[in-house]
Amino acid sequence: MSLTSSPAAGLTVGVDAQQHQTAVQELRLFNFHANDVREVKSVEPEHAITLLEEVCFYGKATVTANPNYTRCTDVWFKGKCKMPSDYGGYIVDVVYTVQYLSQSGDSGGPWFHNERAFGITYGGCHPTDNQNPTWGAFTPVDFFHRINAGVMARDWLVSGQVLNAGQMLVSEDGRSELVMQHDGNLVLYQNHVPVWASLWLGVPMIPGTLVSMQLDGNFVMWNNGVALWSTSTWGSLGNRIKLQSDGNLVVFTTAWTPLWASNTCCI
Amino acid sequence: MRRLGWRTALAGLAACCMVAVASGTGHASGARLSSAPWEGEPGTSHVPEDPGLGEPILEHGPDGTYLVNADGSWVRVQSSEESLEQDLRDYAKVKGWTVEQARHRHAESEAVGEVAVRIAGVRPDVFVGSALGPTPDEGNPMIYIKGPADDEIRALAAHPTTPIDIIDNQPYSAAELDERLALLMNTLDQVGYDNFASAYDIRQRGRLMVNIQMRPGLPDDPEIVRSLLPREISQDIEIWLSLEPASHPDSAYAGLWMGHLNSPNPDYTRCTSGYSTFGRSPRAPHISTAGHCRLLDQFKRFPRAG
Repeated sequence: MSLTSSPAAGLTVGVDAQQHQTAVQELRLFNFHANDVREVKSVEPEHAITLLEEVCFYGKATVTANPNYTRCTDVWFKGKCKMPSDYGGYIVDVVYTVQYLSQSGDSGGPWFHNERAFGITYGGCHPTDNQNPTWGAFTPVDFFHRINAGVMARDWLVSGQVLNAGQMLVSEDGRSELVMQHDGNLVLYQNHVPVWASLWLGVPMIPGTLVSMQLDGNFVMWNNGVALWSTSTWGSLGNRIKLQSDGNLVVFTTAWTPLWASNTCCI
Repeated sequence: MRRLGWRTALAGLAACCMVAVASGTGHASGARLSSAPWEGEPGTSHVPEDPGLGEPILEHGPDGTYLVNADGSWVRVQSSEESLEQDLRDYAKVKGWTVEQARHRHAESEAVGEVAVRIAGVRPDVFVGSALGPTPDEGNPMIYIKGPADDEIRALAAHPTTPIDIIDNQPYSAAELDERLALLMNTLDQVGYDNFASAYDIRQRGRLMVNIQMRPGLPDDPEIVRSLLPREISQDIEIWLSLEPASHPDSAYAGLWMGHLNSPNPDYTRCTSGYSTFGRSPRAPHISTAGHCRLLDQFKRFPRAG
């Protein structure tokens, strides 16, 4: 559980999420069924979550009890839920769903659509008359930055993440790639054609260079402790860099305010 | 099943890119410099931060991509095309629509979501939220705007393929609605209620709603509760009180519900894992779950077991 303050109101609101280090290498995958996985290609920004939008769900308990369970429903309201005191008593941000699909044992399970991560299961939460208590609730994964975490997705880096030599971001639609090449050049390809490269900006190509989305919000190319280039976007904690499907590479704040762009839009 | 070696596929990918840029960096025009084919689906390979941790690997083959665990077990990674079609089929079935209606709906939600993020990023002072019509055949997607929509908002709301209606002159921005909810929740918390949930409805000018589980010694009349609320939120809110809990997390106590759970008590309710995450250390792999799940140090996790 992470608690954060709402600066404007001076109030405390939490996020019903936690992360734990694992003993095995995690890949960008999630279960959409008991023995089937998908790759996380993108994360749904908080503000993109739309009333009556489709969203689907996986929970280990539910699928064990009923393999033919109903998986998909609609997004409903955005709101806040008070966890009972025996669960810690926190007030947490949630997104409601039209149907309450989950059950005990499903907490933390993924909410998604296609290959995009939306949230993780909170449980049942009913902001209206209990005579119709059908609404479920999930925690948007876009709020994970409040617990200093970020979902691994192939189209973005969140603060603390690095692209080492040989690694890449890929836009959700698969048409654009940002590659940290072994030769030290950071290159953005659109349909396999380079449209932006750090070398074109005068950055020297040195093998072993990596690029980091730093905790201070700056996106920096490093080689042996020497900063070679940056987006100069420091000063905003939690910034993330996203390779959009339109081909633009953009640094955003946690509120999705754009701070820097490669200006390689639009394909 | 014939599957290609994961490392082989990755090596092919890297070689492709190195060649392309080595020959192309002197040409700022961005002319096509490489037509080398990609081996496997670009981007599905992931280089482990530490090869020592890399027990589960992705392998690509002509019949799909597979996640192979250290013990040799494997699961299939559903392709992009399969995953979208499955979700559209499932959603259409739930709604009683055709798959094509669900597809149309999906396109609308993609378009309005894109516009919403654009407006929220550039004009957070006026962004309220977004909504779809009740069915695929009823109305365009909608963007809600605080106050009158100006030319900049209209330009930001334009989408090349999907018409989007602007519902302006709303009283509160999304940030203000969030603050109003936080004020409501903290007030009820201070009054002493223990179990309650709230929301706002952008289609009703941000009207608040709250459902409270009654508690001995505290008011059970909605009008008395209303009188306890700050003036700025007390008049535009629907209040329900009930004997039943408004909020019930799906689980607590004990570890993730995994294929090989190592819990000290099998009767504990368990949780489900969510997504792979990064912590502050990019080299440390993590997995997410709900915050209210406890005793997670008790679990022993096997890769992608559910």
